Amino acid sequence: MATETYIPLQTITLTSTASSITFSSLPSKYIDFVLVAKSAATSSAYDQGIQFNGDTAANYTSLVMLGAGTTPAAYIALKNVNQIYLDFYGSVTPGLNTLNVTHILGAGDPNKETNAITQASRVESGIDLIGSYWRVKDQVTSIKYFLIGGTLAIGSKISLYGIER
Amino acid sequence: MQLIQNYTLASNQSFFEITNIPQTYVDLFLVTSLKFGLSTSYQFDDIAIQFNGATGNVYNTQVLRNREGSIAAFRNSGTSNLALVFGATALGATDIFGSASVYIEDYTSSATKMIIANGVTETTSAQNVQSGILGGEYTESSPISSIKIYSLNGTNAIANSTVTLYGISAGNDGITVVS
Repeated sequence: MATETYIPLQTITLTSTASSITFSSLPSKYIDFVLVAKSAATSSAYDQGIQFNGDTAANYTSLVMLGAGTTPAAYIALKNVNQIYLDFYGSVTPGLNTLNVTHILGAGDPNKETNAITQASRVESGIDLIGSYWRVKDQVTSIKYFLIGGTLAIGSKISLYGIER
Repeated sequence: MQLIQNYTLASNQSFFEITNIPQTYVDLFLVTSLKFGLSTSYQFDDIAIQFNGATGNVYNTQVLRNREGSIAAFRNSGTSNLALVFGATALGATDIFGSASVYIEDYTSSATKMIIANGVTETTSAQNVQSGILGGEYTESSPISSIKIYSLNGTNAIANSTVTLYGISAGNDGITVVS
């Protein structure tokens, strides 16, 4: 019997627009999570963000490395901001043309900060590799996913997986 | 994530092809450990991937690569394969296999399929490294039922090269709440 290493926790495909998606009551047995998002915005282009446990304070930092066309590897630090950034050039537009895979590491350990490693792609715009952390030592029990300043469009699909150690 | 297929070369072979991929998952995850034979004409090797045997101009890519400290980005549209320009061993690294992972979303969809990949390998016997990330698109409407992996610059894949394909399911654990 094959072993499940990504345990599916929830997948949602939006049938109406939404300002955010929140995964809550996360089981404590998972130490890491994987968030996979294929999203669209109702208009314009917006970056994706996540917050943990409802924390909206400036407790997050993200460092972005990107490639956009032939422009390589700008390093952009987003320090002490109100969410983890899940993209920079791989931002979300009205087309369902972005893919975001984020590993959330150490989330189940209340004695450590939580880190995230993100790969985000919108080929026509660019690709991002982002390292982030949440400067709070707490077990993650909820994850809020949203577009920073934007609205998620119908058809956006977001999945959360748990990884047991 | 469930294992679909794992294949290790017992002897040299020109390419890998995984066929009859079950259509029961939402996403696929491919992991490679590869080394191809290289002539002295090439310092580096590139892995290429094709889906469903499609050799037309149906692939788009955006790459960011660090090759021995030289950082480059490039975008290619309408190519005949997904070129992972960082995932296979270069000339001189005689005993080193390159590694890559490839996430393929919504592979049963009729829409454009999106891909995220990364990889790393030693480039020479002087312990240098190249690594990179790739965003890709496969623009054909047909669901992905086969994946071919081969070398753009090399000859045969060397024995002990490995490809592993996993299927990723959607689902509900009955505990986590989404709102």
